[in-house]
Amino acid sequence: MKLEINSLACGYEKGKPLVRDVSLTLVNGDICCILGRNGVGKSTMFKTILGLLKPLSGKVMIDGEDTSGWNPEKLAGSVAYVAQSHTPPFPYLVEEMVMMSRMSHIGVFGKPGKKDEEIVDSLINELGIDYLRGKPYTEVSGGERQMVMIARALAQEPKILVLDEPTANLDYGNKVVVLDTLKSMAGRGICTIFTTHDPEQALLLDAKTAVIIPGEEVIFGDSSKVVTEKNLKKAYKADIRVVEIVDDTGHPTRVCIPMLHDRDEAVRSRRM
Amino acid sequence: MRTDKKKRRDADRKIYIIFAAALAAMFIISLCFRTAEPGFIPAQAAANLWSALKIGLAELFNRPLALDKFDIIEKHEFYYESVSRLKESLVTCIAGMAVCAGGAAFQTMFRNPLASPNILGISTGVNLGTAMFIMLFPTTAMGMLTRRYIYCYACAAVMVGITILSGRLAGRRLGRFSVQDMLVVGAIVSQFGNVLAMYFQFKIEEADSTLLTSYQELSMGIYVMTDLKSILIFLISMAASILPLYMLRYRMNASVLDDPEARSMGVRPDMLRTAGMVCGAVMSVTALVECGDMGIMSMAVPPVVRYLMKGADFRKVLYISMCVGGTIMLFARSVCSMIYVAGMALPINFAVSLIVLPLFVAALSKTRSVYA
Repeated sequence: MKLEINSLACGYEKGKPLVRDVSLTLVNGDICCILGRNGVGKSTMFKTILGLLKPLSGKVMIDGEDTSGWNPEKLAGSVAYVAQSHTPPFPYLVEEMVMMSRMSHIGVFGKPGKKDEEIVDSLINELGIDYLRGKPYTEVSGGERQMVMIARALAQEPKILVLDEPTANLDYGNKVVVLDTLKSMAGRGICTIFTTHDPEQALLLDAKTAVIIPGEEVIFGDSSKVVTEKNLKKAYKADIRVVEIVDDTGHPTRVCIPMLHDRDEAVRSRRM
Repeated sequence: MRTDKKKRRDADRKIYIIFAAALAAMFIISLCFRTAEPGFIPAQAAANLWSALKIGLAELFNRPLALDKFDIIEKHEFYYESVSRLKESLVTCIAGMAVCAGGAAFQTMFRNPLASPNILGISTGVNLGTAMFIMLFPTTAMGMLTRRYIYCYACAAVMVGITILSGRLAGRRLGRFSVQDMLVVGAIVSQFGNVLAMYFQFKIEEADSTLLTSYQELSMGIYVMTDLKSILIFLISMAASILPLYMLRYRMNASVLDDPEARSMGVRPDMLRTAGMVCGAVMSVTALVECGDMGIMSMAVPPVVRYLMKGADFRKVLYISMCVGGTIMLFARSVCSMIYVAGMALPINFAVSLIVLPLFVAALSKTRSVYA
């Protein structure tokens, strides 16, 4: 599988792109982290990759084929999506939620069969959420919901997994579980693209990283080269130190630490 | 894990069987009721209906038995009453099932446990259609049941059209239907329709006060007047709306998701909602024309069902809501045909409200945390 994004510009109005000049190539097992401040157009870019918005210019190609002409059924065969958060109004059971993504493999009038159940069962076990399967989704914790959503996306058997802030609102323990899961998905050959407001997650996962800076070309490359103090300052209009530490196994790891300033100065710099 | 799953499946199967059995039992009981008189035993109802079936088939295929039709009928006590009771029970049962199926579909599509086809102004449209029909055909109205369908369908279509168009305009920045918008717009449009219906009622009373009784009987569902043609229209409309919804029963689950999520699963949410709305609207209008306004069923029964079962899979909600809807309607119809107040049978929607309201309040209070 090869995902190519060529000179992509996306937005809601012609002539007013929110994100422009995005060019990147990802293959099986790649993890891509997208960084940028709130409202910079990360979700808009996701919507364009998912075929929900037409590109203002440029192309999104999967295995050399332009996806702009693909219908939702065809696109669902390649790309699965995990939204930021969503609580259904009715108390669906966890296994019912996971099973929903099998719709991409079932006909319009069909219902899940034995094979679908086997796939859902094995994913629920693999992600360690089998204790939740009979519980209402509306009654499980935020971290558990995120795992359920990832299980649902994986049950779609995608080549590309797109996650919108998968660790937002999660505690440290749950963040680690989700990041570990993304890493293991990459090990299975799934290409993963996710957004986050924690730049160090890109470093932890050794991901390819795209930094979106308003009005500038998107910076793309290995996290070790892209997640720098200079780029983070440009992206977030804040001083963020990137510090190297050594973990328990003796490997050097880099972490990001934001520097606090006088509040008025911080507000002024963000307005610039 | 396998055992848990099996246990849940067995529990689901048990619930299905219990509700289907309750519906079947209520249907049989309903066949044995008579209007304002003691009923007859199931064996007598069965014998009458068996003879009716034999006569019908003999007439259809020109068999000699058809010649003895009147002798056979004479031998069976309450023959005609049994046959009309079957028609009535069948129409009532299907109408109850359809109204609840429509409610379940609308609640899922609008992601709101209080949505029902009535938010589109359907019941007002049917009322308006009935009033216009009686005013235009004062002397022949009660004998022109088929034409009533045309007026009711046309008025309901106009009301639904105005509501959807206004709702779309109100929610155009959102890019999708909003149940809040639809509730408000639907209430205003219904108010407009109600004023028109009241004007026609006034005109009906002015022309002939006995006609007002006919109008009230029709709109409150006091009795079901059926002829073969209107039963056929009823059955075809129901089949044309229930079958597609039944076939889409698993797909409908995707409509509770946000549009990007649904589309990323290969589902087209707009098309799914349009199909659901058309089916829900057609089945509700058909049910309302035959059995009067019983909108509370479509709003109240699906939440009660969700409270009774585990999970919210639309397949289960649809199936059990239909069983519960059919059972409640048959029960209400049977009770109402026995109780006469001031020389008039009790309105069916009154009995339905009495049965459904406590169940609905109990279900909402127990599931408040979920729906909040």
